[in-house]
Amino acid sequence: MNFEFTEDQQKMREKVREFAQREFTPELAAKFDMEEKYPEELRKKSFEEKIIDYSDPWKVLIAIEELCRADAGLGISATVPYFGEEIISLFGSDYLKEKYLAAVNDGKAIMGLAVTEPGGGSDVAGIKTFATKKDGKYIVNGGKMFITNGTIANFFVSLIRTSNEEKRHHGLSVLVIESSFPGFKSTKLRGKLGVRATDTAELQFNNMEVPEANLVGEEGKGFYYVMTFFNISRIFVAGQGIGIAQGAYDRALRIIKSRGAAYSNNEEIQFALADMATHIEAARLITYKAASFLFNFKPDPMETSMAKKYAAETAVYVAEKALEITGIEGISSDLERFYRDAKILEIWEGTSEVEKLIIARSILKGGEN
Amino acid sequence: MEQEEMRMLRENIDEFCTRNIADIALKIENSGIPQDLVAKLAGQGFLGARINPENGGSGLDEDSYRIVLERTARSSPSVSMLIFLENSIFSPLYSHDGSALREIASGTSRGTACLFDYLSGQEDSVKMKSGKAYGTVKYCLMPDSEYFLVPSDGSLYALKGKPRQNPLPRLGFRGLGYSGLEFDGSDAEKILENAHAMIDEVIAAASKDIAAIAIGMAGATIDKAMEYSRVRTTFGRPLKDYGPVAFNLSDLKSQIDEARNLLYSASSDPLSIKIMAIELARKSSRLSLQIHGGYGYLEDFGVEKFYRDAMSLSVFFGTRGEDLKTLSKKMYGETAGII
Ligand SMILES: Cc1cc2nc3c(=O)[nH]c(=O)nc-3n(C[C@H](O)[C@H](O)[C@H](O)COP(=O)(O)OP(=O)(O)OC[C@H]3O[C@@H](n4cnc5c(N)ncnc54)[C@H](O)[C@@H]3O)c2cc1C
Repeated sequence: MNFEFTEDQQKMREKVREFAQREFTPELAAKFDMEEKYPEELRKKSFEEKIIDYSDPWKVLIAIEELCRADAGLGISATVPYFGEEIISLFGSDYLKEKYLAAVNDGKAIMGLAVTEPGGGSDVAGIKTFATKKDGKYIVNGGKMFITNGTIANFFVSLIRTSNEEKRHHGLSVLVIESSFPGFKSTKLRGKLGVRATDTAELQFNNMEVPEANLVGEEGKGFYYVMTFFNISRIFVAGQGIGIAQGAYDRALRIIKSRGAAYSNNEEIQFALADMATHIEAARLITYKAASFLFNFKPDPMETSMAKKYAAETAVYVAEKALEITGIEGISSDLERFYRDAKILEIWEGTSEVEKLIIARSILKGGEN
Repeated sequence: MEQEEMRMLRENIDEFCTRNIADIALKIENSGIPQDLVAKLAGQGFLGARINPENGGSGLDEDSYRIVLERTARSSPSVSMLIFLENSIFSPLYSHDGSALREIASGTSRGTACLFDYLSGQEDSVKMKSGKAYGTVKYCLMPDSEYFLVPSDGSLYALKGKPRQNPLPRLGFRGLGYSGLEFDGSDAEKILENAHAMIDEVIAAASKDIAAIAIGMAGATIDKAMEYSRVRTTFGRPLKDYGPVAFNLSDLKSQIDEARNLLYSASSDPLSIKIMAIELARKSSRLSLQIHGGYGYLEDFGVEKFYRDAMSLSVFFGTRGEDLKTLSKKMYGETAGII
């Protein structure tokens, strides 16, 4: 067991931290939060400065942590243009990789992942958006809800029902849908509690024609592809959790220290700090363990779900505690944004309850113990 | 108050809220409490609920007043907080000026007491020089008010005139506005010497009023979640069929009902009810948001505001830590929990 990052990875952490401190100024973070605007310039800058370095997944995880530590709204906005990429890179044809991924990897396009529908997100196999085949094309009707990058992405990796199999999840397929296809419409959703710099939208597909070549992998395998993807992406959501928790903790500590020894000698405060730090450390360890399985091509869905759930809860826990111990000063500072941002982590990419279902299923299925 | 009377009052207020607040609750969050609603609140006697009838108030008894706070908080915690600020904080500290109280009760003026700096142990930074005020208040709820009560050098002053506002992040009670204030020569009148004891007393006396707001918020957010859990289905079943969903909601709902009984019981301890109620508001709003899934994260569903407001309420008038310190002293009969 080795708990050290390589020198190269440590350097990456320093680089991203320096970038985030320089670019994510408190004014900018507050502005994008207030205006609910996507920070396009920051996306470009982070791309130019190679803040997301796909050559080493550890570096991606480290970058997400450090960016969210500075500000989750901006941090996630800077890392999310690639959201869903693995579905094409793992299961897509060379044509799709060439046509779509290349532009994303060149920083010229933004993509999104469209799974959730108005009728439900937890029950992925229950989605209703339907495609029928006609003259070598799919005709898609339906809609998607809460889709990140919904009004800014050039295309979406979308989970669509292509047949009514008895086993619901066997009837799902993944199609690449361009926002320029006739019949595509997106409407920005405003008034989010947090991560307000990220773009979220409702998508509608009305008799939209999708070329057959935009099918990812095989028909009927979509559910499996999306679940495989979540087992990757949840590690990075855990990274968002560590980052938000750490950022809230940093700020609370700064406020507590500024009040002098008389204040920090108070055991109530000390215990809160100790609890926060312990939670963060535990979230890190569980996330890094799950990540090490994944990054060595031996993903463990149970471990991954544990990491995502625990890190999300840690972010909420630490942000709440941070406000509790800093009181009026905390809620009147940018700490309050961490409290609002943190809560999304218990919802997106599998709610905490869904993670528990996955963990329990794994436990009960396992032969050991 | 008789059970039956309480029930009728509750129903009347609920009807008022349904008719006048529910549909604009979101608008209140984003652009403040509109003047026509202020006029209606005044018309109902809510703005001067605890103000003496001689001064244009309705002189409600404590229980009726708390029912007003509780029920309005269900639709809009900001509206409830406005009523609270005027009746539980401003008017007890400003009781000598009948004409100002009349303006407050009729909704033509607002008065806010800038106590957060003092309550959080900050040095007073507003200084008085020959009847004029200079300096900054760091944290002020309802900064668009006409009257400001500001502690300085141990006394309490009433300031008039529009100070410059320094915007602050606004976690909760967005309908009221929240910012720092800069006074540069506003007229100041000393209204209380040795004011700290009086301020502490007013805040302590408001414990059950704060609890009423918290219980209103907790009740509303859990009721919304229960309602949602009946109609939202996942995996082919309504959410309420799942054990953890039903158990957590039922558990909290029953705790809220018990806390409400205590709130309206004359023998209950105000501080412990306050601590309990705020805790319930925080827990309930977090659970309710979660049960609503992605919809809970958007303002349209009217759930996320409770999550913000509950946290704000928990720090505005004494944090949990401070309240527990006071409670410990009471329970032990001597100072305790000071290290
Ligand atoms: C800001 C934001 C961005 C998002 N981005 C994307 C995106 O890019 N792409 C995308 O596809 N989706 C996205 N989502 C959607 C998100 O993944 C879903 O909101 C989430 O999966 C939950 O689905 P739901 O909202 O439909 O809640 P529901 O599935 O209706 O669940 C409601 C509640 O019930 C609980 N629950 C459900 N089933 C059970 C059970 N069996 N036992 C106990 N509890 C249960 C859930 O945990 C939840 O608390 C986003 C959401 C938000 C808010």
